[in-house]
Formats: sequence, structure tokens, C-alpha cells
Amino acid sequence: MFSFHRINPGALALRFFVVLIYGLMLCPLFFVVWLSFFKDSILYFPPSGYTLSWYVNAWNNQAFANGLIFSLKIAFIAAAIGVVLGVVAAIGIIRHPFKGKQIVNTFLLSPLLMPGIVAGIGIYLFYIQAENFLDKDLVGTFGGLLMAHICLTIPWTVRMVSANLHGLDPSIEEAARNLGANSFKVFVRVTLPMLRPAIVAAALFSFIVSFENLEVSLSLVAPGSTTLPIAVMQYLEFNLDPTIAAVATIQIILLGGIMLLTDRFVKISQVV
Amino acid sequence: MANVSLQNLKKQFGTAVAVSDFSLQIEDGELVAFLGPSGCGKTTTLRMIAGFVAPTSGRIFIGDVDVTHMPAHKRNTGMVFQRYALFPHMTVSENIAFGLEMHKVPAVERDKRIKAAQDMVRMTNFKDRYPRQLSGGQQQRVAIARALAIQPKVFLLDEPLSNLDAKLRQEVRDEVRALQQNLGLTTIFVTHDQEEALAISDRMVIMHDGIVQQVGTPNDLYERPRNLFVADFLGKMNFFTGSVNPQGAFVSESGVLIKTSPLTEAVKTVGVRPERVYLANEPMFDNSIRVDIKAVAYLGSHIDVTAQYTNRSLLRCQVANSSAIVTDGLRVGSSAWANFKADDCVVLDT
Repeated sequence: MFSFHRINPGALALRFFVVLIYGLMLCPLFFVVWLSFFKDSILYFPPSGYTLSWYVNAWNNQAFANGLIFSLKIAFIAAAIGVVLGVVAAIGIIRHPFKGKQIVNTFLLSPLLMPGIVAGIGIYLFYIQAENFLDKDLVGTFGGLLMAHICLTIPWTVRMVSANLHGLDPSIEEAARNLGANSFKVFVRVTLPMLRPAIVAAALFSFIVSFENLEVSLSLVAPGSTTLPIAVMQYLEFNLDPTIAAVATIQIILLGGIMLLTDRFVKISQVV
Repeated sequence: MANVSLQNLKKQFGTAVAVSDFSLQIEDGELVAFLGPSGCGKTTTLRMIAGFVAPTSGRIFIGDVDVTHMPAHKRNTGMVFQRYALFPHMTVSENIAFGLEMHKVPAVERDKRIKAAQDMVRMTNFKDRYPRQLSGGQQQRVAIARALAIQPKVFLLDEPLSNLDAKLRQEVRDEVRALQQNLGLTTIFVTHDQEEALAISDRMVIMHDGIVQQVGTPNDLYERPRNLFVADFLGKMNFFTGSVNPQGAFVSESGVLIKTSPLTEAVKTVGVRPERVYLANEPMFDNSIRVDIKAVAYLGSHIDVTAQYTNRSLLRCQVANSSAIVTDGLRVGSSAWANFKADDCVVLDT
């Protein structure tokens, strides 16, 4: 009797729900990009016209340019070091059971559990103590900031690599040993290539986590050498024009581009 | 190839004993199956031979070399794993080449051996495929080729067929046996499938709770099981528990006299295979028991009959479906004589 209702109400509800969720996720992105083209320097809705001048403004702002380069540098080095340490830690935890490994695992993941600002202040206070003890500067140095960012990246690598490693049949590595490979060759020729998708994904996430971090960096940077998120925040203290939206749009395009490019070579979606 | 000698092998994980006092001499070119239920220690023993598990005590010799403390990658054993364990990021050729590279086989020789190994398992047409593009049977063939390409001293197979479907299992099984015989490979084959073990092994080792129960040819073990576990695990068996009376005859608890030999006073259990029990209208042979037929299961090639004697006790008989006349008399509720020869009875240790 209801045969003329061709559309299954359940499927319709699901479709609506999916669109809603995507809409909620993409809404802020959409507005940021849209705002960056508004003509008015004070945010005003609807805009009186559109312009590209905020992009020119962002481009000419020395603080943003320096911040971008500094952030890229920190994120790249932190991700590189963090991934190496994280891979080693994950292999230790999954393949070589030892006493207290659960504690070590939780400890390595702990930066994920802590509010960034708390971690930042914690690291700051620790650095002050360490400075007194070592008689060396840490706060405001590149090395100090880098170490803090490495701490932020490690949990991502540990999580992704150990999840991947957990799903790998240990007999594949045993087969390699059986065929005459020593531990080093097993690792380089078999374990590492099998973990490639997880490692690439971990590197990408580490990069992003470090690149967009504000809270931890906040208490550790020196005047003059700031990261991009801090430069943005400092600009916001005195200005409220769409330059920020333009910077954010550039950042979205940059990170999105890196993600798409990576996904072409390694299917990150299989790992994450 | 080489012979393998296991001397008083023992493996303990914490307080749990996985394998105890395992001694076995495996001859050059022999196929020995380790058979037992899961957790019996058969895989642990194989892994000790491969070098993945260090024995708690005892020694392992491959040829004349004591390999007890030699790392796995120096032992030159070729192992095939239950879940294939192919390298997912390498093609079929690269999988086979891996072991040859590790053994530093020169490039020219290497190519020849890769090709030979692929031909041997009929995988030449698939040489550039990745493992995920192959079926289970094909993957296991590649695993076999990979293990044999390094010309191992011993060929080790850990439940290699249990992930394959029934038809394929038999096919790969027969291939493994043919390869093993053609190449004269000293082979250890771990399985929990008795039919597999019976079909292809020269000798079988039956294990239970880490202890070797019996070693012998398939025929030996089936016809002359030494104890209750072996008799019960391998095929089916009717058991009579009882004791030897002062006149020197075995009498079961239900009062049935069973003629068998050799009898000692200590004998508590006698067994007879269901297919050695003949149902007839009159008593025959050495042992005859009057029975009532309780259940008849028609299984095509044979018929399983459950018969009852002296009220409670059940006797299983397997009647070959050799002619239609035989099956006619088997009706539930009718009576018959269950007959078996003294020679077909086995005396079992508990």
C-alpha cells in the first residue's frame, strides 16, 4: 500500500545525517575562506564587496613570513626526530614485552591527554629548573622549543605505528629470520617497509601537530623568533581585519595539499 | 639434507611445561609428522628446531652440528607458516629471492634458482604479483618455494594446510609429499589433522600435554596404539575396561569375557576398532557379544551402527557398504552378534 514510496526513510535519514555532519565540519573552513575575500576591514555582514588585498597584506607582513618559515622549520625537524623515536618506542612496546611496558606506553601517550596550556606551563617551569641546574638557556632557544615539540609528536607516532605493528603477523618477521636475515636486515628489509604507511601518516600528523601548536610554544618562544600561530595571535591583539583569514586560508591550502600529496603515494586512510 | 636429532628437549614457560623430555632421531629424507591437539607442544618443538624458541634444556643437532644455541638465521632450516607469512611488499619473485640474497647466492645462480622454485610450485605465471593478489593456496605454494629455494637442511611445516579449504588442502598436501620425496627432504610437519598425518608421513609422533605418547609409522600407530590417548585420538575405538581374572582371561566391568593377547595381570583396558567388529546373525571368531541395535547412521561408503549389550554398554561398529544385502539386516531394535578376532584387540596403557 506504501509501494509508491520509493525512498527508504532509513536511508534518507542516514543521508541527511551524513550531510549534516560534513556541513558542521566544513562550515568553519568555508567561512574562514569566504571572510578572507571580504572588502571591509571590520567584519561586516553581508560584505560590501570582495578583494584580494588581504592576501597582499599578509604577504607583506614580515611577522607572518618569518613565523611561517620558523614554524615549518620546527615542524619538519620535530616530526623527523619524533617519528624516529616513536617508531623505536612502538617496536619496543609491541615486539619486545618487558616489565612495566603498559606504564611506558601510557607515559608516551600522555601529551595527548593533557591540555596544551598545562603542558606548556609544565615544560616552561621544568626548563627554568633545568636552566638553574645546567646553567644553560632553554626557554626562548630553538633547541628548547624543538624538544617540547618533539614531545608533542611522539604520541602520534607511537599510536599509529603500534596499531599497525599490532596487526602484522609476527611470523612474517620470523620467516625473514628463517631465510637467513639477521635482526638488522629483518628490520630494514621487512619490518620497516611493512610499517611504511603508518610511518608516513605519523610523520604527517606529527608535522601538523607541531605546525599548528600554539599553547606549548607560547611560553617557550623568544621575542623576535615566533611561530606562525603566535604571530597570528599577536596580530589579533591589535587588529581584527580579514588578513588573519587570508593567513588561515593559505595554511589550510598548504596542509591540505601536503595531505593529498601524501595520500597519493601512501594510502593514509588505511592507517588512520 | 641432513638428519635431525633431538635429545631430551624441554621447554618451560614460567611454571608451565610446554614440552618435556622430547627425544627423537629423524633420518635423512624422512617425513615426520608431529600430531596432537592444540597446546600439546608440537609447534613449540618445531619452533625450537627453527630457533625461534630457546629450549630450557636438551640439545638439537642438525646433521652433526649442535644448533641448540645457534641463532635462527644461521640454522638453514626452511619453514612454512600457517598463515603463509609472505612479505606483503614484495612480489612472488622478490619473496623467493629474499632468502637467496641473505645467503649471498651470486646473481646468476640466484635467477636460476628463483625460476626453478617458481616452476616447482607452478607459480611462474604469477611471478610479478604481490601476495594480496594471490589465493590462499597460491600463497602457500609461494611460501613453500621460498623456503625450499635456499636449499635448507631441514624443511619445517607448521600447520601449512589449516587455512586452506578441504579440496585444496588435499591437493597441496599431496604436492608437499611429492616434492619432499622427489627432493629427498628431511621434513617435519606439524598438524592437528590426523588424516593429513596418516596420509603423508613416514613416521608420526603423537603428543599430548607436552609429552610424546608414541612414535611410529602410521600403520603402527593406528593398528597398535600403546595407550588410551593414542587409541582415542587416532581414529575411533571401542574400549572395554575391566581386569584379568585368576584364570588369566580379561573380563570387562559389564561381565563380558574378551579374548586377546598378550595379557598381563596389570591390563585394565582393551580396545577394538569399530571397523573390526562384524555384525552377524550367528557368533563367529574369538569374541562374540549379543547386542541390540540402537542406532544406524548411513554414511554412504560405510554405515555406523551403535549397538548395546548387557543393558548399558555401547559398542560402535562400522559396516562397509560393500553390498545392499549387508545393509538390509541393520534395523534399529533388532538383535545381532557382534564378532571380533582376538588379534584385532589391542591392549592399552592408561
